Amino acid sequence: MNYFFLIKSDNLGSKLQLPRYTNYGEFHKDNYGLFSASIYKNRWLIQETKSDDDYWFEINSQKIKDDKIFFIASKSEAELIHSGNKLIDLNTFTDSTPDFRGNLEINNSLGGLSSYQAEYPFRMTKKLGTLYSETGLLTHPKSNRLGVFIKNIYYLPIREKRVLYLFNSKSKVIVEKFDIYLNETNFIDLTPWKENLHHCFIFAKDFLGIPLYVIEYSDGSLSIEHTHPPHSTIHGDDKWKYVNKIKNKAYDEIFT
Amino acid sequence: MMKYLHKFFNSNLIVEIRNRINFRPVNYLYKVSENFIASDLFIWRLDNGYSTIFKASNILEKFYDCESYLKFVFFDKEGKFIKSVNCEFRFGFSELLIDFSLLKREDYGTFYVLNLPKKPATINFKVTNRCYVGYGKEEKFSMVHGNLVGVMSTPSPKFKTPKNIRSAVSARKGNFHYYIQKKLCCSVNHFLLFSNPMKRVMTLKIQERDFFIKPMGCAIIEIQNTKKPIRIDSDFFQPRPILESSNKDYYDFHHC
Repeated sequence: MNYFFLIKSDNLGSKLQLPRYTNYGEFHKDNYGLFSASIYKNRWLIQETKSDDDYWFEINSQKIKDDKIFFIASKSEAELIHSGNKLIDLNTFTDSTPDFRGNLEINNSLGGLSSYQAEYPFRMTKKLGTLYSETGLLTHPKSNRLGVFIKNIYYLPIREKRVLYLFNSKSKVIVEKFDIYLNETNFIDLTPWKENLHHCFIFAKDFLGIPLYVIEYSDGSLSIEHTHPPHSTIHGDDKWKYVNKIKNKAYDEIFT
Repeated sequence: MMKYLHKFFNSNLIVEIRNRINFRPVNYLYKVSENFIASDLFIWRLDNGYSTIFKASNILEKFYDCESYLKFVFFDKEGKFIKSVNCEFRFGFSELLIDFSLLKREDYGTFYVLNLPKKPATINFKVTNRCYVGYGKEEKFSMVHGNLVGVMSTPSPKFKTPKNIRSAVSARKGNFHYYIQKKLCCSVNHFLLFSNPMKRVMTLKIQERDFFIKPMGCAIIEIQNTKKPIRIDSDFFQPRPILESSNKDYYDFHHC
């Protein structure tokens, strides 16, 4: 099962479009709808979101006040989240190979827009791992503004703080530290360092999330895309040995 | 005993037979390969005023402490070899601007990129370096990550094009379909970008039109706008394209 989300910053809005069908053409059950979950006083609150289109659910960030997440389920399934006060793997509708795709489109007041195929797998919501992402892969020094949205969804309704490090692996220095939170869409403005991001990575302990890099060019045009996690680039029985090596090296460089 | 049976069951010959008779077919051939470096079959664009940027991280050095370089191999849209280019990494990062000065043509085609060791290595590499590609005008790129692992090679420093390359995906034929999970409507032009990493022709049927893509070639297919889901029929098991949505003011490349 996948959860979905919107993103928003001072100059960016977004629109989420979720198909009512899988990529192999199967429609959801008749009693399924779109629900949102948000945290209030350490409780998951559930609300049904109406959408009239026969083929898609559509939500605009302008109409959403809180940092809500979204999911497709029946009413009785959705109520399990509220009663259990934790996110649950409710159904298999969005489990598919290749992956189910929601479309998250960001936009600005200058008419720029860009899309990214957004989904947040349930299995990620259960983990507190280590976030590692190289910042040069999806940024551009000739941008006007750039940054990274780091979306975390954690299964418990908490907003604990973590520290995110921007580290320069060429000069071996911590460039900056940022407070980020579980169950939030965190935005880090990377514009001040745009010339040097080729040599940098971001790192956070006890925190998993999807890093979404956004570029805004001088004419307003936009780009958004996420980096792959390190474990997706190598295979084999011993792959976690190599993945941990990279993360441990990053940890040592930052903290020793 | 089980280990040897497993090895035999996943040998090239037996996998070929399994795929021909459709008995427990293997779609991603790299998953049963012992030592490989794999790449997507990316699409380069120099048509319609576009240029292409490619970015990659040095996976061999970061995971395996192995000095390495990038080998780019370019093809035209019909799958004919154009040229190959080697690129070095600097501080674990490499990027290549693919423009007219590099390929001397205003067209589109495909390329693969192998992260190869500089010296013979004793390690069994299992690498799918997914990388990132951007399409844009005046250096304003809309970025996308790798879409589908397409080709692979034994990781030898003495790489000879194209003798050492083989498909990383099964060429088994079938009646496969894929539904685009985004609404393709409104005052925007939509194009689907497909590449063919197989050694046979790929067939596609979209909106009652037939398309044939030669081995290592690609196609850019304009879609008639509709508010209904679009179905892609193909004899290839995973006909999932990259989508270009554009009008006179912006362009947006993403997965769908």
